Formats: sequence, C-alpha cells, structure tokens
Amino acid sequence: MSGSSRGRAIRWLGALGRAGRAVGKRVYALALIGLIGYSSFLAFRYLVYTLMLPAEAPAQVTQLPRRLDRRVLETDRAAWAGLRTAEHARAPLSHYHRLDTWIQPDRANNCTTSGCHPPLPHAERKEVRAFLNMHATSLHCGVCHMQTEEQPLNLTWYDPATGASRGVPAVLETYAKLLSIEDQPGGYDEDARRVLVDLLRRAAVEAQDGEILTTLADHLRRLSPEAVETADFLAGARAVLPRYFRGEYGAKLALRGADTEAPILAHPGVEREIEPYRAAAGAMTDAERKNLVDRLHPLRRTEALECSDCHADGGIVDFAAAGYPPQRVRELTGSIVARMIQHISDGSPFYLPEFLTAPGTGEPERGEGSSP
Amino acid sequence: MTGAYNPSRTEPTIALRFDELRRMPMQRTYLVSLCLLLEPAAATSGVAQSVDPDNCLLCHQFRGLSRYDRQRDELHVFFVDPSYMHDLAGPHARLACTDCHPREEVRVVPHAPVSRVDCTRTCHVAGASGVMTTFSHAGVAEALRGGVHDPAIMRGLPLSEGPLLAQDQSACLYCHDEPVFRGIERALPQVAMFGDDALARCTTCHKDQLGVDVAYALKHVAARLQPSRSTLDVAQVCAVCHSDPAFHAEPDRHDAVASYMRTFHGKAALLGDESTASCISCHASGNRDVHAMLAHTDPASPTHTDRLPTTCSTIACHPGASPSLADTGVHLDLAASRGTIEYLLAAAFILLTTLTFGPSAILAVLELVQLVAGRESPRDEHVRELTDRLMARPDGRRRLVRFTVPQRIQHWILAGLFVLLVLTGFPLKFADQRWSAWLIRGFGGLAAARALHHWAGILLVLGFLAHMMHTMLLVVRRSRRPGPDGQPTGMLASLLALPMWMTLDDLRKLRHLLAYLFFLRSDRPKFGRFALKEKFEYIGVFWGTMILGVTGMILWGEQTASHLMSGRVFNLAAIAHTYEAFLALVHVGILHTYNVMLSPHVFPLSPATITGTTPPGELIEGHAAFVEDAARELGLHPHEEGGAT
Repeated sequence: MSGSSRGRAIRWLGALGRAGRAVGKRVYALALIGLIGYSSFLAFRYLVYTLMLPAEAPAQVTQLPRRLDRRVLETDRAAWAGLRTAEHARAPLSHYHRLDTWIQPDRANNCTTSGCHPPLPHAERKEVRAFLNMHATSLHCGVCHMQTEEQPLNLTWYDPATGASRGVPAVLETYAKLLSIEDQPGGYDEDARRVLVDLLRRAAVEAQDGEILTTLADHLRRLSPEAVETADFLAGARAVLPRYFRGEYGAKLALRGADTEAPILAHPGVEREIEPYRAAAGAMTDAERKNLVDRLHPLRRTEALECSDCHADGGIVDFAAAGYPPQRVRELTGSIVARMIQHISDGSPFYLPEFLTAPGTGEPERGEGSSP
Repeated sequence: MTGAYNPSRTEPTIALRFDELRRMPMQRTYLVSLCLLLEPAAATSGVAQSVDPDNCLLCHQFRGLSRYDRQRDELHVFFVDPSYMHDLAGPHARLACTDCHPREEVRVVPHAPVSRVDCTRTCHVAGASGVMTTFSHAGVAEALRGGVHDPAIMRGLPLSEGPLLAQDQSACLYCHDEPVFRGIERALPQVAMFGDDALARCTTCHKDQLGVDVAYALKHVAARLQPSRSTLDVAQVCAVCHSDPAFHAEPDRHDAVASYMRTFHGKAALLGDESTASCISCHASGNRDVHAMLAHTDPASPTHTDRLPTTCSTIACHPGASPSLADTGVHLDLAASRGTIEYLLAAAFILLTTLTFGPSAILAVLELVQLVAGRESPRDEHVRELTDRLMARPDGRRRLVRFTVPQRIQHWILAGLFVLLVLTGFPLKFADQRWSAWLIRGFGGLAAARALHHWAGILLVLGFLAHMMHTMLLVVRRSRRPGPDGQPTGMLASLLALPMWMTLDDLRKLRHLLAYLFFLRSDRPKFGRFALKEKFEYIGVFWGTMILGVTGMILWGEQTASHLMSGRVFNLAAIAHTYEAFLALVHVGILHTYNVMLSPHVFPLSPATITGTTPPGELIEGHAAFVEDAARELGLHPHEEGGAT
C-alpha cells in the first residue's frame, strides 16, 4: 500500500471514528430522553393514582385461592402471593384440612395440558375415583391407559415441569441408601455421608415439604461417621423418610420405548387434531365423537389396568426396577394393600380399623399406603 | 380402640441425643426444632397420644386422594397432612378423625357420603396429664351470636364469587382452617436456645411418674403466649370478606383491609413486623373475645368513638399517648376522602411536585434535545478555549474549583444520609413490593431499619443546622467587612450576597435559556459558579429537610406529640413526609443523577464534589460566566497565546 493510500485510509478511519462518536452521543442522548421521560411518567402516574384511585389491598393479602377449583390444580403454589408470604397460609375456604404444600401441576402431561382431561381425571366410579386419582401425582396417565406389550412395563421417571426423563426420585434413593447402610455394618463412611447428605437435600427439595430432611442433612453433614450420635440420626432418618412415600416425588413414572429413556407423554401424531376436536365436540354425534376420540388415542388400552395388575407379587410394574427400595416394594405389593384393593374392586365395603387388625393379635397392622 | 387417647399405642420412639452436637457451631434453634419435629409425644412422655388410632392416614395421607367435579368446577381434596399429627403441629393434632367425623359414617371404606363436621360437637380430649375430658366449641358459637360475625350475618354476605361455604358447612370455616401452632422461637427464645435440654429437664419427672406430654405441652404453651396468627395472616383472613368488591360495594362499607394495609401498621405487617397492630388488636382490644367482635357503632365496641382513646392507649400499644391520638384516621383512604384537609394536602404536594420536578425534567430533556440536534452555542468555542488555558495552569485550576473542601464533605455526608434514608424509608412506603421485604431483611428487620432511619434523620437535621450556623457565621463575618463605600457591608447585604439565592438575573437567564432551548436564540446564557438548577436543588434540600425533619419527629414521637396536637396531625404529617420524600427521591434519583452522573458532559461521574475539578464540558455549558470571571481575574484574554503570568 502506498503512503498516500495509507494516509487516505487513516483519514477515512478517523472520519469514521468521529462520525461514530457523534452518532453514539446522539443515541445516548436519545436513550436518556427516554429514560427521564419514562421514569417521570411512572412517578407522576403513581402520584395521581394515590390520590384518585381507592386503596386496594396488596396481593400478599388478597391473592389466596378461595375455592378449590381447577385453577388451583393447575397453578403452582408459589404463584399465589398470599401463600408465599403467609406464615401459615390458610387452606382455601370451605376446606378445613391444611394444604401446606400443593398438588404439583404436571406441565408435561399432554392428556391434561391439552384441556381434554382435568388433572384429576377419574370421576365416574364413585367408590374408586379418589383412589385412582391418588395415582395422578406419581404416574402419567399412559402407565395404566396406554397399550404396550412389554411385561413388566418399560417405565421411566420424568420431570413434570419439563417432561424430560430423569433419575430415581431422591426420596426413594435416599431410603434405599439408608437401608443399604443399615445392611452393611461399617458401611457408613465419609463417602456414604457425603452421598447421603446430598440425597437428603435433594429429597427435601423434591418433596416440597422437606424441612425435616433439610435439618437431618444439616446435622449429618456435621457429624463424623464415627460419632456416637450418628446411629441415632440414621435411625431417625429411616423412621422419618417413609412419611414422604406419598406419591409426590418431584417426578412421575411414564411409559417409555424399549430402547429409549424418553417418556411417552402424549399419543403420537394427534396434536393438530386436538383443537379442532375440542371446538367441534359439542356439535358431534356420539358416533362421530367416538370415532374421533379413537383417532386421538391411538395408544389407548381397550381396558385400563386394574389395581391388582400392579399391586401384587409378580405384577406388571417392577417397582424395584423403578428404584423403589425393597421395604417399599413389599408395602406396595403386600397383603393389606392387596386385600383393600380386592375389597374395593369387588365393591364390598370393609371396616376400619378392624379390617387392618392382624389375626389373633387384636392390634392393627400399620400399613403405609398403596400408592407408588 | 376408638377414643382419641390411647397411651398403650404409640409411634416408634426416635431417640436422638444432642449433647455432643451442642458443642458444634450450629444454630441451636435447629436442635429444638429437630427434636420437636422428629419426636412425637411418645418420645418424651409416657402419656403420649396415639397418632391416627383408626388408621385413616393409610389412605388419607395421599394428597392425590381427591376428585374433581367438572360440572361444578369443584375440587374435593380428601388429603389429611400426616405431619400435622406426627409433628403435633396444632391443637387438633391429638384428636382422632372420628372425634369430628361421626365414626359410624367413616368406619366403612369406601365411605358413603359423610355429613358435614359440626364444630360445636362435643369431643374427647386428653388433658396435660392424660386424663380424658370432654370438650366443645359451643361457647364460641354463643360468643359469635349478636356480634358482627354472627353466622347468620356471614351466610348472607354479598360476595363476588357467591357464598363461600355450603349451607351445611360450619361457619367457623369463614375464618379458620386446621389450627397450627406457631413456632416456639418467638415466644420462648430461651427454650429454643436450650435445645432438647428444655425437654430433658421436664421429662426427668414428667415421663413416667407425672405423665405429661411434654413436647405437645411446650408447643401448645409457646403458641398460646403469642398471637395465634401472624399479623399478615390475620389481614389475609379478614380480607376474604372485607376486601371483596361485592362486600364493600354496599353502602357505608369500604375496603377496610386495604386502608389498614396503607397505614404504618399494615405496612409493618407486610414487612414481617410482628409487634405491630393487627385488625384484632383494635377490634377485639381489652382482652375481648375476638369472636364477640362488635360494630364500631356499638358503644361496647373498642373501636366506638367513645372507647377508641382507651383502645389506642393500652399498655401494649401507645401507653403514653393522649386521647387525641384516637383522632388519627387509621382507615384513611385519600381517594375516598375528597374535600378533607388530608386530601387537599396530598393534592398540594402533587401540585408542588408537578411544578418543581416537572419543569426541571423538561429542561433536562430539552438540553438533551440540543445534543441530539448537534447544536452548540457560538460562544462555546471561546469558553472552551478559556477553560483549556485555565486548566493548563495550577492557579487556573484552583480558581475553577467550585466547591470548597468543607462543602464537598457536607455534600457527601448529605448524600450518604440521603441514600440511607431512602433505603430505610421507602421500603415502608412500597411495603408490598418484593424488593422492600428484601431490603428490610438486609437491614436486620423493620425495627433495625426504623432505628437507622430515625438516626439518619437526626443526623440530617443536625447537619442542616450545622450548615445554617456555618452560613450565618459567614454572613456575620462578611457583614463586618468594609463595602465599596468603606462602611461595613451589613447583615442584610451580606445575607443577600450569598451565592445560592435566586436573583432577578437568574430569572432573566432562565428566559434566555428557554429561548435558546426552543431554538429562538442561538447562544446559551452564561451561568456563574452555581447554575440555576443547582440553586434550585439547594432550595429543595433546604425546604425538604425542614419538612421531613419536622414531620418525621412528629411521627416518631407520636405519644409525646399527641399531647400537643390533634391526632389528625399525624395523618397530615404522614402525608407531608411521604410526598415530600417522594419528591426528593424523584428529583435526586432522576434529575440529580442525570446532572452529575449520566449527562454526556460528566459521565460516569462528575468529580466536582470529589476532587473539586469540574469537567470542561460542564463548565462550558453550565458555568461560562464563572470561567470568564476566572480568566479575567487571572488576566487571560481570548486568543492570547500563553496568557498572562
């Protein structure tokens, strides 16, 4: 490059820089005009509102669910400002028992998010509808209602917030870990402590209501594995953890394909037909509706699973493979649950607490429940 | 076994020893909470209550045990939180389900439709020593009769979503759900510090021989030593009806919770302060049964005009106040009180803000418009040249210092106090905003934030007085100096000679400036050491400090002040304090920040009040006369190379 062309280039660059600075200065000034104008507008609007509009109670006071309705089922508890800020938020009116935590909305379950089915879908058989709905917190609809030839079922845990496949819920994993520690004398070393504390913390988050688990984790983190108190805390954790076996793990089980971990959360290939169906459903004949419903549910089982298909030894759900600890598997497939289910399925009532009385003892067996 | 109490059947004991742990550096409150959480009554007492004797939780522990009625859009939740019983979380934790739900109805599974719970039903509960006794809430039902919350009235309330309860549901549900014990930390902090020692001491005697359910008793007593609900939770309960649009649309009703939330009490509640008055503090004052709440028109009501002075001045609230404190409008809603002096004062402050901040903001925007248009005054080049030459000389730089060291120190003390006052005061004004709660937590709670606010306010007033004294000393000293005629200048002349006064010349320059900014003149006016906006800001600080100081002291010392003035003055003081503070904030936060930080001439920060050096751009645009005076004094003339020595 010759000297003159280099000089010209330098002059060009200089001019470009000056122009850039000038433009930048103007843009900055414009931005400041906007900033001053907008903040002044906000300030004046606030002042005028305070004088002209009647006072309204803030969301922290008024934003509470008054009724137990569908909106409650589909809204995260944290979305209610009143529940977030209250020390002990009250249950929605007309409901007495406390709902300190919330039914976790399943944002990945296409059956409910499509608007076709409510999150607690079973409503017909009066004697079992609540029992069936009990499973909605831990199972995707497809586990019982989607056709698959696999025996036992191919299942995977998924995150109801994202729909992504995930590992075994921390509550179950923690309990399994605790049992394994109990079974192995001397098995609680530094590594086991680190793993257990981490699991307890995760379990506290996933169970939503994990104050005790967090506290346990805090204590165990500080306790040397050799400390005399350690055994007490481990026993305490083993006693407390089953309280969290209530089907709310921050994860749900869903069917998966034979060679994939991805959960099956919707009937394939029907997304585009759902909205037209919902719009036109009211005007359809029964035959038309049935036809379209069949098309919208290509994977549907002709007959849904019965309780005893899973809650029995050798049932089609391999609870152990799904990560349930052995004790919990025994409870889910054990005698009390099986007997209860049989009675309910048969439509024959039974009586509490006599039903649970162990023969010959006069004392009740203390079951832990039937839901996974 | 059907009763609520069965000492022979208990949960497994979880024995936890904390002796070693206590030597560890951890919060001791954890210890007691863990102890109380993990150890059901059985762990520490021989008279423990059986958890769920009928085994109802076998099914009802599942939150999903629910159904949805699509036709009526109703969710039926049959979930019973087992931790309520496991953790003895409330006074009903030791009841069996069949104490409230008729046993014959729920014994059979699946249940046939069960009748609604009657809260006045007699149940069987175990006393502290385990002796069974009968109990009923029938007395509460009696207390409600004739009060404002009589179930007959409640069921007839017009509410926007229709009746909140079914006809056969217990009216208790309007205000109550499953009662929960509040934590023991607030009522018994010493016990919380003791950890499980607190229980161990009791169980030495009360385990086997003098059987008492110690864990339960401790929780129960601690809960009863404090309000059963937090102040904010009480407001939530009241707001269900009192903030319902249909409810307060009725004649003679207003949103009482909303107006309460705008008072200091309500805002303090929002910020987590538990010592402030809740709705119950006034409306059921004087140990009155809250269930027997009366209308404020009833002479027996603590909020009746005749009784209000006593209600306000109870020992727990404002013990040193005069009866006039009761004149304060606790439920003042400005929008609903048009024509009152409070409304007019607020309107006056809004007008003041409009007439002061408004024009200043417009001037700032117009100045920026000049920049966007790339406009420069023809004299700018001349002043720039003088500025550069002055800045090149040590005596020139000294002459261009606009703030003396004491002034700079005063400025930064003022700035620091202002920021502290804003940070501790505005969370209360905007108490419903998340950042407010965050800030208040950062200061260690509302009490700490208020203390900081008060002391910062006192320092601000003291600083203001010191500045005044310093200025007056200056005036006195100058008044003794001989004037052009050889005589002492005199006090008045010295006073009027202070540089921060607005003068007729300033008004002429303002007219000149407006003509320039509106493109009616080509040259901008030349301001001296202090430009018009700086003089204006100085006057703002002057009047603002006085208003905020006086009203702040009235509000702070409300009990003493109530002996000197009517309670309504507190409303006026609060209005003046809050609106003046807002004016100060928007002026400093928007315009002063622009002038000293964001303006292209000074960005990112003018060092004028730090090192004393004013940036050339700011001198050229805002202080041309000051530059020319300095040049003249130092013998500099335009276009003169090198300048005078």
